[in-house]
Amino acid sequence: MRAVLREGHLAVWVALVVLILFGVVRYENFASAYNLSSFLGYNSMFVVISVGMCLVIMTGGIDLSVGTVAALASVVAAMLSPHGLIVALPGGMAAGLAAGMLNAAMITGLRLPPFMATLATMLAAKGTALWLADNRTVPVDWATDFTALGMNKVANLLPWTILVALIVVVAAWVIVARTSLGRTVLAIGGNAEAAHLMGLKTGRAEVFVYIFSGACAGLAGVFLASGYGAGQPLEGAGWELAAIAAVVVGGTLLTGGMGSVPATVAGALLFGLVFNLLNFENGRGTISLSANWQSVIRGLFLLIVILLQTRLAQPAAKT
Amino acid sequence: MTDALLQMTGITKSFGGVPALTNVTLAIEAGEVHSIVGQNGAGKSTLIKILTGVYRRDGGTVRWQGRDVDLRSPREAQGAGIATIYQELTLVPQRTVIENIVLGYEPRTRLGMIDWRTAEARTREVLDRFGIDLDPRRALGSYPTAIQQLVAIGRAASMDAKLLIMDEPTSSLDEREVEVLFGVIRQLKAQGTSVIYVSHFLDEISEICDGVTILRDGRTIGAARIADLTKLDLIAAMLGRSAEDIRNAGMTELSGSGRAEGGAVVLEAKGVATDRRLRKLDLTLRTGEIVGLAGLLGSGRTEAARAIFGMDRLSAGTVRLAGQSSAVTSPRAAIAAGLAFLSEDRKTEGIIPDLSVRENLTLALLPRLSRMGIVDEARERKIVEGFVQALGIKAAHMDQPIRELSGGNQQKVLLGRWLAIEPRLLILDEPTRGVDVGAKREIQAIIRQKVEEGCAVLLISSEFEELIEGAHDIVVMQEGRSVSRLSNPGVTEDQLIHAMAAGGAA
Amino acid sequence: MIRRLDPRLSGLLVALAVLVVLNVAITPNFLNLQTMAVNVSQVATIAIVALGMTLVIASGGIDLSVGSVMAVAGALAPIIFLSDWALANPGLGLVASIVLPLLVAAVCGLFNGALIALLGVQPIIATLIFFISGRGIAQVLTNGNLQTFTNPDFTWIGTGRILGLPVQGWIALSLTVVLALVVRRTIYGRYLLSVGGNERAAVLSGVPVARVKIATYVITATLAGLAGMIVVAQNSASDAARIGQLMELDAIAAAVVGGAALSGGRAPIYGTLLGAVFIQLMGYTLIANGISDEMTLIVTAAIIAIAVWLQRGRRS
Repeated sequence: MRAVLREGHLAVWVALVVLILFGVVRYENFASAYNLSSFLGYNSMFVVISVGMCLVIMTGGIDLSVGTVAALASVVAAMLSPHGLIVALPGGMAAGLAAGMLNAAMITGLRLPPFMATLATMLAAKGTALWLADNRTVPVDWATDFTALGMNKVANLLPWTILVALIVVVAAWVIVARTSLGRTVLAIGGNAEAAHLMGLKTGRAEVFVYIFSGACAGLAGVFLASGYGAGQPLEGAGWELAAIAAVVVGGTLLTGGMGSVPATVAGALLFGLVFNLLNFENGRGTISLSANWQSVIRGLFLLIVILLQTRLAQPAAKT
Repeated sequence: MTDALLQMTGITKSFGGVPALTNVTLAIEAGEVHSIVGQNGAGKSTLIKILTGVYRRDGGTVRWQGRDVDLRSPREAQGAGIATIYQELTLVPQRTVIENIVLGYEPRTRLGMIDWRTAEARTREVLDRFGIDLDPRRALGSYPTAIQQLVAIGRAASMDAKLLIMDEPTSSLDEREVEVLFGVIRQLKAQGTSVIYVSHFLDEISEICDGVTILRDGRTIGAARIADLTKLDLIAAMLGRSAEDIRNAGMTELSGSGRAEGGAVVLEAKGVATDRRLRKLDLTLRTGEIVGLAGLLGSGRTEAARAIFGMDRLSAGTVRLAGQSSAVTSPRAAIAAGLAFLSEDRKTEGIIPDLSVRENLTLALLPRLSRMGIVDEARERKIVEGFVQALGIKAAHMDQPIRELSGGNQQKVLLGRWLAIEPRLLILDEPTRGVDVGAKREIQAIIRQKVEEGCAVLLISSEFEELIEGAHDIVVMQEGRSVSRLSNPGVTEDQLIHAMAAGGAA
Repeated sequence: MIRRLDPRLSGLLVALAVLVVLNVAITPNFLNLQTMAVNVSQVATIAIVALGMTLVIASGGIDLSVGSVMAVAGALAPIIFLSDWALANPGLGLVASIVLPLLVAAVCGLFNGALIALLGVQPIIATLIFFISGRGIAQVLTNGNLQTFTNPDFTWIGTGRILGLPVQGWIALSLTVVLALVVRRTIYGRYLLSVGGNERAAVLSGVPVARVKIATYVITATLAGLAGMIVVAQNSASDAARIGQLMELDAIAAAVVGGAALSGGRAPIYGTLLGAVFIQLMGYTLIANGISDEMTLIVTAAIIAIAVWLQRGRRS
C-alpha cells in the first residue's frame, strides 16, 4: 500500500472512495449485491484492457487497437464456444495475442510510430472481425460451459470475470514492481536511447508490452462474448480511448517512464462508477438525464480530473 | 604491443557514402588512462560507438584482450567488460537513483524478483565512493545535472569493467566534482582498469591521462605519451597547423578589440533574483563593450541570461533597458526591445531541424519581414544570402535543412538568426562550445566585429582564454550572486580562478 | 526559383496514377462523370478535415475531437434554419445557419487549444475530452433524433454541382490551395512549422507559441465544422450519433499517407489531399470490383503501415 501511495496517485483513490461513499449514502440499492456484481462484471473488461494499456503507455507508446481487437476476440471466442471454455478462452486470447504480435512487429521490427502502427491494426482487426462474423453478431453456444465465465458468480456476488481480471492486475503489478522486465518497461518510457545504451533488453520489453496489451484485449473480448452471449464484431469502438482515459485518470503520464498499475485500475473503476451513479440518479427521478447527457458528463469528469492534475503536477514539473 | 588490452586497427566507417573514419588505429594498455582528442567531426564519437557496439564498423579489426571480437550491441560490449559514459546524459530521469544504478544488473531474490534491499545497499556503496550524499529512492531527475553525471559515472564504475569509456564526463561538473572524478579514475587505474577519456578540456587531459591518440578528419594523426606534448602541440596537431602560427595569432580571435570609451548604458540590472537559483545580479552593459560572465557551474550564469531575456519571472530587482519603460517579460518582448540570446544548447533550444537554413536564420526576424502576415520571400532571400556569405556558412544552398549541417555551421546560422535582428544587446551563452577550432575562431571574429559596430555583448563562457582575451570587463558569479567585476586589460587566469573560487573581490 | 518536388509527393502521385490506370482498365464506367462525382463528394469531407489535421500534426499535436465537432456543427445548422425566426427571414436564416455553426466549431477549437497551449495538457488527452462529450452535446441538441429537412439553398453545399463536379469538391480543392499558400508564405505557417519542429527554440526566437497552437486548433475545428455541415447537407438529414464518426482516424490516415510526421514540423498540404484521394480511390477500386468492405479495411490498414514505413525510411 505504501508503494501505491508513494507514487503520488493519492487523488484517484480519494476520489474513488468519496464517490463510493456518496453512492452508498444517497442510493438505497447502490451497495446491493446485484449492483456490485453487475458493476464489476461490466467493468472487468475495462479493467483488463486498461492494465494492458497502462504498460504500453509506461513505455511511452500507445495501443489504439485494443477495442477492435477485443471485438475480434469476442467473435473468435463465440465461434469456438461449442468446444467449451477450455478452447474458446485460449482461442480468443490467441486472437488478441496475434494482434499484439502484429503491433510489436511493426513497432519494434519496422520501427513505425506506435500511434500509426496500432491504428493500422485497429482497422485490420475490425475488418477481420467483420469478415469472420460475416457482418453479424455471432451467437455463442449456450449448451457448453462457455457462458459460465461471464455469467456465473462466486457466492452470488463476485463475477468470475473480475477474479480473472484481478489475476491480470496482480501479474502486471508484480511484473512492473519486481522484475527487471518491468523496470526496463519504465526505463524505455523515461529515455529510450539511454535504456538501450545502458544495455537493457529494450526490444524484448517493447515486444512484451504490446503482446501483453493484445492478450488483455483478447481476454476482454472473451469476457464480452461470454457475458453477453454473442461475439460482437462492431463492439469495442472507443474502448481504446476509455482505456487511455483510465490510465490518465490514474495519474500516468502519456510520455511514459512513470505510472502505476493499481492507480490505473482505480481510474478504470472511477470512470465506470460515474456512469453507475448517473444511472442511480436517473432512477431516483430527481433529474432525468438521457443517455445523451452521460457522455457529456463523462467528458466533463475527464476535464475536471485533468484540470486537477495540471494543478497538482505544476510544482513538481520538470527538472 | 602484445600486452595491449585493446587494439583497434584499420577501422573504417562511412555514413551514406561519406567516410567518417578511415583506417583509424587505437591501442590501449591495461591500467592506462588514454585520451582521444580531435576537433568536432574528427570521428571521436564514431570510434567510441563502434567500440561499444552502437555502430557496426565497415572494416578493420578489434582485438580485445588478445582476441578478435565483434561487439554488436551495447549489451555485448558491457558483457565483455567495456562500460561507457556517454556525452549526453544517458540515464532515466523519471526513475529513482537506485534503479539508474542497477538497471540491467538487478540483484534477484530466489524467485527471480528484484531484490530492492540489496540494490539499495549496492547503490549506497557506489555513492559513498563518490562522496555523494543523497536519497537514492528519489527520482534521479530531481537532482542537479552534475549529480546525475556523477551517478552515471558511478553506474559505469560499479560494473567492474576492464575498460571504462568517458565521453566529455566533466562538461557539467564543477572543479571540486572534477577532482572527485579524477580521484575515482586514479583508484580505478590502480586496480588495473583502463580508461578512455575524451574531453575538450586539454588541461584535464594533461592532468589525468597517460597517453593520447589524435584524430583529424576521421584519420589517426598519431599517438603519444601525454608527457611528451605541450598543450600547443596538441592544438596544432588537432588543427593541422604549426604551433608557431598559433602562438603568433593568439589563442582566440577575440583579442585586440579596444573598448569604445564612454559607451551609453544599454542595460542595467539591479538586485535581480528569480526562482531559478539566481539570487542577486547587478550588471551594467554599455554599447561597444563585451562583458564576460564567469563562474563555476551552477553559479547562475545562464540563469542571469534567462532573467534578462524575459524567460524567467523576476522575484526581486529590476532590469532597465535604455529607452524602454516597461519590463521585459517574455523572449518575444525582449526581441522587440532589441535583445538577442544565443542559447548554449544548440540542439534543444536552437535549431528547428527540419526547416531550412533560410527559415532558421530569419525566424526571429519574421515579424519585420512580413506584411499582413505574409512573408516577403524575396527580401528574406537577399538577407539570408548576405549572412551566408558574411558568416561563411557552408551549406549546399540556403534551402538545405539545417540538420544536415555540421555543428559549427549550425551555430553560425543561429548566430545569424540573432545578428539579423540587429540587436542592441547580444547575449551569448557558450557560443563556441562543441564547435570545432576553426569555426570557433570565425565565430569569435564575428562577435568582435559586431562589438566594434557598437553592439553590447554579454559573453558567458567556461573558457578562461575566451573571457580574458575577449571581455572588457568580467563579472564573476558565485551561487547566484554577482560578486565582483574584473577589468581588462590586466586580468590574469589566476586572478579569475581565484575570484570564481574564493570569496568576493580578489 | 523552382521548387523540387518532394520525392514523397511524387511517389504518391505515381501510386495514384497507377491506381487510375488500373481502374480505367478493370473497373466498368470508371471514367464516367457520375463515378467521378461520387468519389469526389465522398472524399471531399475527409480531405477538408484532413487539411486541418495536417496543421495540428505539424504543430506536434493531434486532434481526436474532429468527428464530434462535425456532429455539433452538423446538428446545429438545421436547428437554426428550421427555427421560426429563420423561416421568417430566409436569407438571414441561411447565413446564420452557416456562420453560427462555424463559430461554435471555432469555439470548440479554442477550448482544445486553450487546454493544450495554456494548461499544457497533452493533445491526445485534451481533445479526448471533446471527443467524448462533443457528440453527446450534439445528441442533446437534437434530442437524439434524426432531423430531416428540405432546404435546397442549404443542401447546395452538399449536393450542388459546378462544372459537373460536386460543390464540396471545389471547396476542398480551394481550401487546399489556400492552406498550402498559408503554410508556405505566411508568418503563421513558418511559426507553425517551428513550433512543431522545436518548441523551445521557437519560444526563444520570439514565436508566440501559445497563439500559434490555439490558432491551429481553431482552424482545424472550423474546417471540421464545415465538413459536418456538408455531410448534413448531402444527406438532407442530420444524425448526431453518426455524423463524422471515426473521422479522426480517416483524417489522420490521409495526413500520414500524405507525408505528415506525427513528430511534427512538416505540413504537406498537397500531400494530404492526395493521401485522402488515394485512400478513397483504393477503397472504391476494391468495392467496385466486388471486394467486401471488410477487406477494404484491411487493405487500408496495410496502406497506412506502408506509408508510415516509407516515411521512416526517408527520415533516417
